[in-house]
Amino acid sequence: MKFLIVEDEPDMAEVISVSLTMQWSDCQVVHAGDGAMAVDLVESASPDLVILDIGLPGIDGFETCRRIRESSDVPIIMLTVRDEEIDKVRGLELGADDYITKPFGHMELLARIKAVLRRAEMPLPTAAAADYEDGRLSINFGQRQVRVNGAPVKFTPTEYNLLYHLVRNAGQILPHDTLLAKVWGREYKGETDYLKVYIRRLREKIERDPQNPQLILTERGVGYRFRKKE
Amino acid sequence: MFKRPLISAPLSISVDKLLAVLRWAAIGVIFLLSWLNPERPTHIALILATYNGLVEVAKTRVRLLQSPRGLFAVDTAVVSLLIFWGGGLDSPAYIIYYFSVITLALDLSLVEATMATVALGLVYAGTSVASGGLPWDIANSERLAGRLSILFIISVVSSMLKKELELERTLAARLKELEQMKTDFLSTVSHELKTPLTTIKASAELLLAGGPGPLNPTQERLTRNMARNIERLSALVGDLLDMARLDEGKLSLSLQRVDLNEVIKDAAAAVAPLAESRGQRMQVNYYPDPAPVVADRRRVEQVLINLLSNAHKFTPPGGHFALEVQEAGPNWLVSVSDNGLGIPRDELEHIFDRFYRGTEHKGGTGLGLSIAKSLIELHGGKIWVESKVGKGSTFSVSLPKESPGAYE
Repeated sequence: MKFLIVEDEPDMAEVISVSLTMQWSDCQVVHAGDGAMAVDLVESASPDLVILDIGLPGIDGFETCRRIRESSDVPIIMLTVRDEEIDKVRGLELGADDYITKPFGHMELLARIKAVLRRAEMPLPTAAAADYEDGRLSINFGQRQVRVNGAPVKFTPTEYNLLYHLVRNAGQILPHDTLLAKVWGREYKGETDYLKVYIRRLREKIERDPQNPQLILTERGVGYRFRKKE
Repeated sequence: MFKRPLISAPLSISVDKLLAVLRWAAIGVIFLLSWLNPERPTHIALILATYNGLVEVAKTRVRLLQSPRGLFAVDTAVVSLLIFWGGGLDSPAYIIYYFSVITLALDLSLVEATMATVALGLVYAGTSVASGGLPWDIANSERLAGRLSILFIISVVSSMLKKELELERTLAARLKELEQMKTDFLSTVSHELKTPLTTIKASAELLLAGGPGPLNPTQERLTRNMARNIERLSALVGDLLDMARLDEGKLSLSLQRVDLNEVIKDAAAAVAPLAESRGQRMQVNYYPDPAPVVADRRRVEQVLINLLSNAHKFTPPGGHFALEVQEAGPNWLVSVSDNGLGIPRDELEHIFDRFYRGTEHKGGTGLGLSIAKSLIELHGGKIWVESKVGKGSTFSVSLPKESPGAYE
């Protein structure tokens, strides 16, 4: 297991590093003090997970995240002192997989890392759901393939899992917490921001008009529902 | 000489309204007088009314008429013509002009008002001469001088008042700026505190987890002390940030439909170790069925933790405190009662004030309840307390099942 810590405060980086080695005794920890170095290290060291502080000197964590995402799907956990929804959503939209607010504890950090790794490595669900086909969108769960107008569409594991649960329960309302627990893990209950961002991404990939969704419907204040084929 | 451009900003709304009312009232009076007195010509009042009506209509389109100086210039031209025809210091046209200039004086600077006063005199003199003949007797001069003096005094007084007002406005703006600086400072410092706090917190936890090697009992006790106090410090930083955010109106709720029982369960779980450490019994009476509510789960939990940990603080060791949920029409009613010291009557009304701490306080910043109140009010709910000294206190929260406001 190889981790990349992007953090300008050496003390903080050290604590995280000790915490990681305590959990994974044979892990390797690489440290970058700024964003540019982080982008290089993602290429050259190919870590399994990146822990990225937002408050970096020079190019900040958001921009670093965006640059990493240009070339890599490595799971990214952002560390931040701000817990406003807008920052959270921004981080997630730029492609971060998780978002931890300081001050966090060592157990919380480890739990989040495990959850993110679990999601990234999770075997994608297979034939448990009936395939979906409406002429425009076709989902073949057996082959894990989604096509829009015949062209294959790429999904991240989390996106695919979310789609899977929605389609499998087509016609039923899935409450926020249920979806969060199923796709992200029980510790994410209440984190509706994650759901909002990923639902938007799914809509952008499969809806004809993402602003006016016809497939993934919002049940205000309750959750989401995938429209059942008539 | 004019510091401001001739066509300046539109009149302030109040002056504009006053001016319009005054002009129409004057025209009304002139019309009434000329109708009652056959010697006075009514056509002047009609011409004035038509002119004024045109001004009112044109005002919405023509910028010139929206500014005091523009209106003044147009008035001067029109009224000069009218005086030329109807002449005289008592002529209705002159009177309405006079009123209009007085009203205008409220919005002019001292120099401008002086110039308007002089212009008023010159218009009268000029048109009188032009209309052939100057009835320049003492009585007329006195009346003109009197009117000009009134105008001048009004200008002076109003410009002095305006200066005072400006000073007040500057002070208010400065105060607001300082308030903003305070909030920004609070927010920056609190955010800056979070990184070192995390480092200390995680370090203490790592030591306790035994990663770097086993601790002897004293080392362990000291490290636990450290960890406990970091929690306190973190809570304090959180409170300060919430306060700064509430001040800025930046605290927004992330509403979702949740089972209130679940939120209560999480809050109780957070306080349970505290109660246990002092041998207290915490009794939680959940609602027998699911209790759906549209709320910000994290924030409601924060409020409940605050109420429960207060109950814990004020309950003697070995005592008990309780939380109960009831349905109350469109609301859920959650009450937290303790059999602690109780709150004296004179302190009750301040209990939700910011920074207020009762005489029997047990540490804390006096922010928790004030933040709790703001958070519940953001949900459209209410929070209150009933207490008897020696018997204990009951804090109640009434939370609407459907919070007002948008959510997704």
